[in-house]
Amino acid sequence: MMTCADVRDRLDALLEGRLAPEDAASILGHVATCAECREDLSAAEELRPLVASLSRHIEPPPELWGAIRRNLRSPERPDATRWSRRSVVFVLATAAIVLIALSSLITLEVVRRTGRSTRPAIAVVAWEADYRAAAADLHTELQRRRSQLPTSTILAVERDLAVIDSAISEAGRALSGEPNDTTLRRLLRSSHEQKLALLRRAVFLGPET
Amino acid sequence: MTLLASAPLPLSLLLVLTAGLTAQERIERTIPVAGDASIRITNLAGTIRVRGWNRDSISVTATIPPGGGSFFLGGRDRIAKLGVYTAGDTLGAPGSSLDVRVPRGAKVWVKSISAPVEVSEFVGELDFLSGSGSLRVEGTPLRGITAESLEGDIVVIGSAGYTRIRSGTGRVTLTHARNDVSVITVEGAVVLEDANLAHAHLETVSGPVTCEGKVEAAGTLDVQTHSGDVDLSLPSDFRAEFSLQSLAGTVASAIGPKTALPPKGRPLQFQVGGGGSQITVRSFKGRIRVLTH
Repeated sequence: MMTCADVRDRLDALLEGRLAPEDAASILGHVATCAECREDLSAAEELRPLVASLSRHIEPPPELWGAIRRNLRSPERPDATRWSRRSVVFVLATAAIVLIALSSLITLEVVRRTGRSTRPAIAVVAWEADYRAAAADLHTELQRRRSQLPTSTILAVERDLAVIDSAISEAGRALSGEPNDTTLRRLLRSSHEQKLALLRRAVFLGPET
Repeated sequence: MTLLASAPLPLSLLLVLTAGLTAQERIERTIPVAGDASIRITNLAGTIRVRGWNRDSISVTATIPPGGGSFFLGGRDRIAKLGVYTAGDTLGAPGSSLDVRVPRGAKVWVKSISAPVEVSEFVGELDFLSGSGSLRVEGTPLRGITAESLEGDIVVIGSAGYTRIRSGTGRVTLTHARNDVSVITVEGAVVLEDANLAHAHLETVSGPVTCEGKVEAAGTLDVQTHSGDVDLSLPSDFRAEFSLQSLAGTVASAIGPKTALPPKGRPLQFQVGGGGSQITVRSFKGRIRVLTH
């Protein structure tokens, strides 16, 4: 598990493109979920060249997908079941991180080619990933607790989530055309925060809490 | 003959048993606590009524139907906890009613899932969490209100030192709101009547926002929606700096210079009466309107 100290130690190497692809992916994955490290990264002057250089290396390694397939297809042996599942989870998590990193880089490349500042776009991509990950966690927890809430309340929450998701999509689309628009960024962030707050309220409402 | 003769006994027994099963349990309990005690009240379904009084004690009258759960009340000095506990099928249990008297200056935390909650004659701090249950607070100024609901309506009549409300679909209505106010909903309408705000933040995704009143000198009113319309009604002699912006909606103001509006999507900014308060309204596509009263 990558820690903040690990990230700080390797930030220079990351900026200079000296890290192995999997290490760079790990750091980017951590940065996507850690505000402090994200700030560190955002503060770095050579961010843009760094990201450009990383794009040559952060390819999903061919063996990654092979490993996923092998893990998914291999029959579960009683003594190896837990390890196999862990491996699958690990590999899938790694794949997710690589995909997040790639999608971030693609976004950056698009922004770079349009000649706009990359910094706001980087920030948006990073904090959106944060919000989405947190919302996914809370949604999973809410699904687990569905039976503890009245159906009407669950339906109301789902409807609210749909309203918020629609607002997020709309603001996100607009922001992709105007990445430096502070009002749009604020509206988008607010909608994400609304989503988290709603999910949190629903989760904490159950009798278990 | 034998059957007829023996019938009345089991029948009467059955009637007695049935009467026992359908009888509600009424519980009255009182415990002493400090005047500023923290009191947790839980009743997931049914009703909750909380009233402040000038005594350092909690008094509860609980009415619990069969299968409605078991009543609990405990604590002393500065901490107390009461409510109806339902094991197992929480949602299937019939609702109980709680009528609670608490020290007027206490800190009260109330949790329900569907139970509506009424609070009155109370000046302390109120913390409310509910799913579909509504909240109605009426009467004397409270030290503070924090309320979170998913779909229940929230009505506060009277002022509080601070008011923080979050709701999903539920409508939030504040009458005579004062001081610091934050109301955030998803679809729920936000309505402020006769407000006199120091610092206020009103935010929805699609719910409309209506605010009638004024903002203190050097105070701030910040309104934000995605698609909800915003109507502000302010005194005609109001002194403030305005920034009104709807990226894809319309902006109109009865206050301020009668000059051409900026291009759509750009903020309409102006100052009246030499400034003072700051009014900021932002929306993605909601209509923004500033009226006078």
